[in-house]
Amino acid sequence: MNPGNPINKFIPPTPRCVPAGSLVFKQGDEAREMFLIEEGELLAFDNKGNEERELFRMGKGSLVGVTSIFEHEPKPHSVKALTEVKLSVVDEACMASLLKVTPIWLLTIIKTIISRTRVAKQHTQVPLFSDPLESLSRFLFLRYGGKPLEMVEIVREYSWQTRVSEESIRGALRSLVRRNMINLVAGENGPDSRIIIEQPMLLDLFVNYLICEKTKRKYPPFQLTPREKSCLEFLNLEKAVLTKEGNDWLKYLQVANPEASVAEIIKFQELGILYRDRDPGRLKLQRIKLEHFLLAIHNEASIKGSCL
Amino acid sequence: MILPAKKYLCLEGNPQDKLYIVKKGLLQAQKREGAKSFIVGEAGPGTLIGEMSLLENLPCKFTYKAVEETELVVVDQQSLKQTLNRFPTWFEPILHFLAQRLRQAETYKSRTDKIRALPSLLFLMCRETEMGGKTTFPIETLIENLRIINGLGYNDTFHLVRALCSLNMAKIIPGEGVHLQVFNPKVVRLLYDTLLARAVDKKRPKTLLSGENQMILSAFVDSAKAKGFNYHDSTGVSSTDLFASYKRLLPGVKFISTSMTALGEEGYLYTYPAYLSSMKTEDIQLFYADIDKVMDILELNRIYPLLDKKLPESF
Repeated sequence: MNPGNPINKFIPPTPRCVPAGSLVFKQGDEAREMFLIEEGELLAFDNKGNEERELFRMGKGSLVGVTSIFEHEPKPHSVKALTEVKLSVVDEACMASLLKVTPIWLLTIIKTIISRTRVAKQHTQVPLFSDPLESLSRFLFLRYGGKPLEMVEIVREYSWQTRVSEESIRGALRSLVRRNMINLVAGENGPDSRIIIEQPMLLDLFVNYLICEKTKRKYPPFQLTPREKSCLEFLNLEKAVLTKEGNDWLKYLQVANPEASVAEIIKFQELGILYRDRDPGRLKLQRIKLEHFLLAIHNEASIKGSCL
Repeated sequence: MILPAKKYLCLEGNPQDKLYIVKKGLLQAQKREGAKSFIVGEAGPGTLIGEMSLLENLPCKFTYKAVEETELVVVDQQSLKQTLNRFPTWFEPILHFLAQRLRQAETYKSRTDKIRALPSLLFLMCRETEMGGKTTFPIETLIENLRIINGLGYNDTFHLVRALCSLNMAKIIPGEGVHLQVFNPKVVRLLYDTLLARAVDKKRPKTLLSGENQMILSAFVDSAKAKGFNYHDSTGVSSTDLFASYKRLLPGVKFISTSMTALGEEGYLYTYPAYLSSMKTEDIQLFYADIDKVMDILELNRIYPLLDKKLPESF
């Protein structure tokens, strides 16, 4: 070795000789050390009942127990010597002395890899989505078939689909109750055991609002001016299918609000509330869209959560 | 290395064998999901880009684009080798071991995420076919709803849908708006309910039949197709025909009439006279059933075992 090399400062591994048949470590062992096989052969095994089950064999040059030193994990299986084995034991002090002289970028690589591995392992147990309210609301919207839903069944089914704990689901349901999106009533399984959804579309609008919030976009129904809102309320009074020319729409809206201008017509077209009919020059009212806008406007406090 | 603003450092999926360390500036990480590209994060000073490319020659995970002029330190294979030469020989295998472990953990997670999203996907397919009343529908809606309910991304959902298609449950119809055609919505519903029942009740659902019962139903379908007749708004076959089909499907295996108890109780197959455990096989004059229901349940029993065997292989 180069005498000026900082690597010379590191504590060398300890040699250890293990006779054939002896145990190197037991499954579950928490000792933070890893082994480099210098000579001989090791056998990894676990115990199924009283029987020893061979997992794999390792020979010269193999590393054993790396995760125990880097990820502090107990040994996943037992290892014994098949022949007389010469090992180099790298314990925490030895590894720490080596890492001290490791360039920062290499150290960061090791840390990043270990952290990403830990995250990947932990995240197999947790839901992939970030917002349980968004997920549960869309699930309820799609699951609702016009009849009250049994809370027990819904909680189980949603928990099975998403791996969210039943306790968290009940918490999210309570949150939706506070937002007036759903109601809980008594049923065969006791008080508050049935979910009533009076306006399922409200759940869907709530999801759309949450998506806008998450993506930092403005939720269109809440961006309307008082004049635009009053025009929408007026449009909703007429239940017949409405198709008119642009100018006629303007005159129609001016009945409700004399200040209504062509700007409202353009805005409603942009929002999809009015759209070009097959007949050129005529605009048709998209009633469903209008109803969704008004439902969102009338329930702004619930959707935004300001009613909480 | 200086990367001017708006220039790309690497493109997702392209080969790469270098590590970049951001010294100054900012990059944006983008990921392709279908035809769209999404911003998934930012890389500022101190961030490493391409650690797995350096160690394992893995292609770029994301596309990186400089938001502003960015200064990067490049570590190539030669620099890595030179550094590692100063270390004990066992140090390099440790790095590769840790990198492989990460790759395995991420592959396992990706596979598990897809398998675990299957119930939600089936739920959404049921919803589309039952509420929408169509067996063919735009795949975009399905993907968007799965993303919201489950969190699975566009590409992974597409993999999962393709895996279901490989089980012959559905077909992707390409075109301007990609559509999914579900071959038999009732089977999708049966599969969803069966998986739910298995998870909730922790026991084998009644929709999953024994091999013996599946063979009896197969013999029924086989004989009904050739010699079936209308019997009280269902399909009937004579016992002679069913036994002949059974013998053809399972040569040398004796028909066990006690199976009829379970099949009758579950409403899949009935006999005339109504089956009693004290009856002998030769007392049965005819078999009758709702043949569509029988075919659906047989299809479910064909698909179900493939979920464990074939589905994970698809990912």
